[in-house]
Amino acid sequence: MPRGIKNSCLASGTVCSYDACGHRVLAGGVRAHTITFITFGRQLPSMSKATVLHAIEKKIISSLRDKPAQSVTELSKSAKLSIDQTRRGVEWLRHKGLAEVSESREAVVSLDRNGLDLPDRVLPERKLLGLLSADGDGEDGRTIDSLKDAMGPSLFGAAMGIVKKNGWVEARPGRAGRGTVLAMSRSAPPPSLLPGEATLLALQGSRGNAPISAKSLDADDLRALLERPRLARKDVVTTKAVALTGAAEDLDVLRGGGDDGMPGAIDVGADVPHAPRGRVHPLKDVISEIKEIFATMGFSEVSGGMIQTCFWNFDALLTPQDHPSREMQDTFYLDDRFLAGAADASPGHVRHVARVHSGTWHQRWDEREALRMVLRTHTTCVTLRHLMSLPKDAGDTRLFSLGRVFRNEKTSYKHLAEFTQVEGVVHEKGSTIRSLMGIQAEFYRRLGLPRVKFWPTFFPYTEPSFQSMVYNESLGKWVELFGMGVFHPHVTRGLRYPVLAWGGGVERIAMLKYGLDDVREFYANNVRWLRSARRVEGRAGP
Amino acid sequence: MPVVELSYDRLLRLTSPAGRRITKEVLSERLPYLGLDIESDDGDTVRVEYSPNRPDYATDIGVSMGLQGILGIKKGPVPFAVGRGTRGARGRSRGGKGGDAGRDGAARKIRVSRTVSGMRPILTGIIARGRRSSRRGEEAGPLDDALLRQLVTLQEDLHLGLGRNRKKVAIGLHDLSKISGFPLEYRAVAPERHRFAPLGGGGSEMTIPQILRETNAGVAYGHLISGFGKCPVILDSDGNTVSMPPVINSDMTAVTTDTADVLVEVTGTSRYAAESVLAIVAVTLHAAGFDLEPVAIEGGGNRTPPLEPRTMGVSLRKTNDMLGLGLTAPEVSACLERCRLLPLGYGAAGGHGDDAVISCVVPPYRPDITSEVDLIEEVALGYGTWRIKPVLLPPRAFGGTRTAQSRTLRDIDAAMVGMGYLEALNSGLTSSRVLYEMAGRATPRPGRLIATVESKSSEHTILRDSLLPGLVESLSRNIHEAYPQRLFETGTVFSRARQGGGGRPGRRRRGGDNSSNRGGGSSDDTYDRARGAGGAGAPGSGGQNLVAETAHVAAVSAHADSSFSEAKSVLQSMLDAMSYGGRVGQVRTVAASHHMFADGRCAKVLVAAACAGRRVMGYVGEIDPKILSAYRIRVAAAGFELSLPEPAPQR
Repeated sequence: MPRGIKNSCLASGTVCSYDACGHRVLAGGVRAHTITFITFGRQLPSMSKATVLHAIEKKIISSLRDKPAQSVTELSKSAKLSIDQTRRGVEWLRHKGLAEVSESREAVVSLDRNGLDLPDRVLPERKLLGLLSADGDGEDGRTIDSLKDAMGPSLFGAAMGIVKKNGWVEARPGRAGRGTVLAMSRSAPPPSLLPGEATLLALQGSRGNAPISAKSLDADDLRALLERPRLARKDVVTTKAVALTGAAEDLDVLRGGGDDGMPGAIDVGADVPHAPRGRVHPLKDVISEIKEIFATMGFSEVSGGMIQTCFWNFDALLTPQDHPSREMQDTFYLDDRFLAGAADASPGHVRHVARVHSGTWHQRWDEREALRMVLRTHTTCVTLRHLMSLPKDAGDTRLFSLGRVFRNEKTSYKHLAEFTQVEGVVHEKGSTIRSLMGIQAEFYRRLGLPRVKFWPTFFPYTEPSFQSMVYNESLGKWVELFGMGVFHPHVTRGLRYPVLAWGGGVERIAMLKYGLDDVREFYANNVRWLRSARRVEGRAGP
Repeated sequence: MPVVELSYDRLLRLTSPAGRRITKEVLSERLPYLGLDIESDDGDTVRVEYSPNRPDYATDIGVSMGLQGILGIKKGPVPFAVGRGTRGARGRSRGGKGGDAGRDGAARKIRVSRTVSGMRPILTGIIARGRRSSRRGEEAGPLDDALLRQLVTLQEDLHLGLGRNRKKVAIGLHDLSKISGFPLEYRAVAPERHRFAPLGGGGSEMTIPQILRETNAGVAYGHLISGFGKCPVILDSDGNTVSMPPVINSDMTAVTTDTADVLVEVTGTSRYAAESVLAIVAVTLHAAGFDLEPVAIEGGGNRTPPLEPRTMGVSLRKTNDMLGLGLTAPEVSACLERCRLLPLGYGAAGGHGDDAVISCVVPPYRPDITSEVDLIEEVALGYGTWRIKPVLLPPRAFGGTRTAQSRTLRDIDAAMVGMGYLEALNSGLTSSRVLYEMAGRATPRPGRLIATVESKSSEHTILRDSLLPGLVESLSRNIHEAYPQRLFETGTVFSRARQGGGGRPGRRRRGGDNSSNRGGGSSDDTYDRARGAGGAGAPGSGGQNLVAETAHVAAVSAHADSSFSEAKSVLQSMLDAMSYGGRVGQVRTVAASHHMFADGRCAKVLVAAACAGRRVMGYVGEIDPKILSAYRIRVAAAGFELSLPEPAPQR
């Protein structure tokens, strides 16, 4: 055993040691936690001087010197190692150029299901012929009915197919009332060893139905047996033989390799396990990136409650009270014990909203309906509340909010009942829909999505309204992302300038970034995925 | 959003008059710029989603009118005239055709009885007479299979959208020749005594209760007319039933491809919606080859529908302020014409200068246009969205700011990741299985849960009041993965707050408020809320909300040797790293009991906050082995959960 540096892995909570090669020492008392060894798939440079060998490797080399070219199974017996250790040792030796693995393919044959279940271990036709010849000199023959009774109908059927095809029996009408009678054919009597019988005997001779090489069998006889349904099976097995290379023959194994002049040298190119790392959630990583882009574009973050009154979530945003999206099948309501006492908006604002709904739009409007509590269906209610609390003479304002929103939907690969939305607003002199498009284009550019186009669409609370279509390189198609528009003046009553607004789901962007096609993965907390998820789209950054 | 299926063949024929060649490619490229999202396109038919504010796009006829405008084939409004009624009809009447209702011209009338005023008071309608043309070698009206299908789609989409599933508005289409005589009467009848043969019922008569029980439409829409004692029906002058709105028409007046002339009736609860729907059906029929004639409607406060366009103005200055395109008044007019509207002129200023106001005639089938911004949007559509070029806002001297909460959470993330923890994310809306049953906590009576109404998913029914149960559940989904597993989560939890200002910091809850006792013992399983009704309260509002939203952080470490000490040591380091460390002060752990943790291995975390004395900030301990074994987790686990102090007020 070479001297090595003992590394202990404190973070794991158990003590695992690694020897100089980076191989986990399989000493007693160590818990068998799975540790993943990553193979980098490259050949190490040839071991010239400081070849460092692990104990496993030394055992394998010694064993192969005694008996060249062994399979892994043989090797594990002869070197007294577990199969797992042997496999790993062979792999290490291969990387070091000390061993070679050659593969050979061989056809082997064994009995199949029906072959194992043969009554009396003989072929059905042998059974039938036996019954016919046992019946005196066979001249009288036997009726089909009696043969069926003796053999069972299915075995009889199988046997009849073969004997008829070969013409080994003759059928003739029996005496009165006896039905058809079968007798051994005189013109073409069956051979003493029926086709397939030699192979069957050989297979039955193999202990525990161990496969035997197809080469040792007569090819025609084997084919005859293999043609029968599930009597025998032929498989091709690949056997691997491990042999030493010339370099290994020259090594002085007992001295531990060429450590001349470098005692304690370790194989610094050897593979090591991944250290378990902590990590922010992949979705949170995208969220931070988005927040950073907003902040660097001059937007300040605002936040607000996930539970809102209908007033802010719907009514102030001009969604009619009988609109389908307000129904329980789309929106999560708290039950009526959670009715707000008042709309927590200024009385003037409530009167204005009532007027817009019932007057301009000829809709019935009931203040009690506005006091029901919902899990917010978008973050627009949050940005709107902040906008409405701006002082009358507020100047230029850029805000963004990001948070969870809720929809009463069955979850699926593309829908969640709870997801993350981001929303930005601009209240600024001189801003137009062209600047709204400009902000979008810049936002997507910073996210690494440079191609964008805009289509008109409809939202109840913006006029005009657009949706942005973004070209995704890895999918090779246009994807619908954020919706946008200018808040209807009824929504932003009393503000000085038109308010540009846009927003949408964050998970959609994160799915593009991580190449996911099932949005539920973000909330599955699958440890393996959390540890290994990688972006397919790079970061572009501001 | 509703979807309409369009055949390219029909669409091309409808859109381009003879001699003008338009390709499928041009159509499919332009459809999105009408606001129509292409769902699928197999080369023969294209399925598009249209916005609910444009029900006139529910048919290929409506879509072709939009395409004609945006492609510049036809501009301005669709000619939409209602003829002069019976006299005109007589002039065109086809002699000898039996059953024509025009035996008494003056009587083409529908009377609305006051008996329907309490249930479904509004009725409006119109007559559409098919223009005869030569089809398949014989003289025929415009109704063929394709048109009939489009009309049915239009009717269904209008029922769902503007009609609010027939509650607000329902449309009936009838074969005029099958109506034996005018005037019709719309009135309420006693359901048991009234019989008629419903549409699709094979012609056999049924009583109204039978119809409501035995027909599909009756089962689906019967609730809209039950509960009044009587049912609204439309009868002809011989007392035959024409329709029982909004449920079902009679079989007698069914519209088929043999139908020449159609009576359209629209009933409902809102006149504005009913007349808008009538206008959309009427313009579609008109464009499909029908001439329109009025039906006189009276009684019950109803009127003959005027179907008049309205005139609105749009200011040139506001248009340019919003669109940033620097258009002139004639250019704005041209854009409006391409949206099939009729600009009249430029107002007093004669089209000069920014003060120009372009007045515009809006046809009655565009109920979505109600204010000036709607017309500005039409200008953008008519200009062509693809031609609008983005510009950048002027950059700002200073970047934006993040909320204090956001910064605190970032510090926590960094500390926990530094200690080897993976961040997990769970929904705030969870189930009582995760929060109570599996967490070894008695399920409180329903009134104490913050539950949602009629959730579609049993995994999302109640709002969480704690993060740790979700994290332990996450561990249970990873029992086949390598240990150690260390997870943390930050997120919002929800709790009931008292009416009238649960917002004072440092308030303690009464013991009786504690719903989560294990075995009825005195467990101090509550967090002092850093702020009470933070959630739904508007800035400065008086705290009338009953649910408080609080940020929490929780962590759990699962491996064979996890312990209380490990959890407490991670907790300490996390608190050290939080930027408000100075305010938190000394941390003390005192023995406590909590449903998530094993007895004797649990402590409450006390923090001497600068302002509010000692507060319970959270709990730390070893997860109760009973919970772990219920989840089949075979290693030990320890962790903590804290409520985060209120962030410094935001400037």
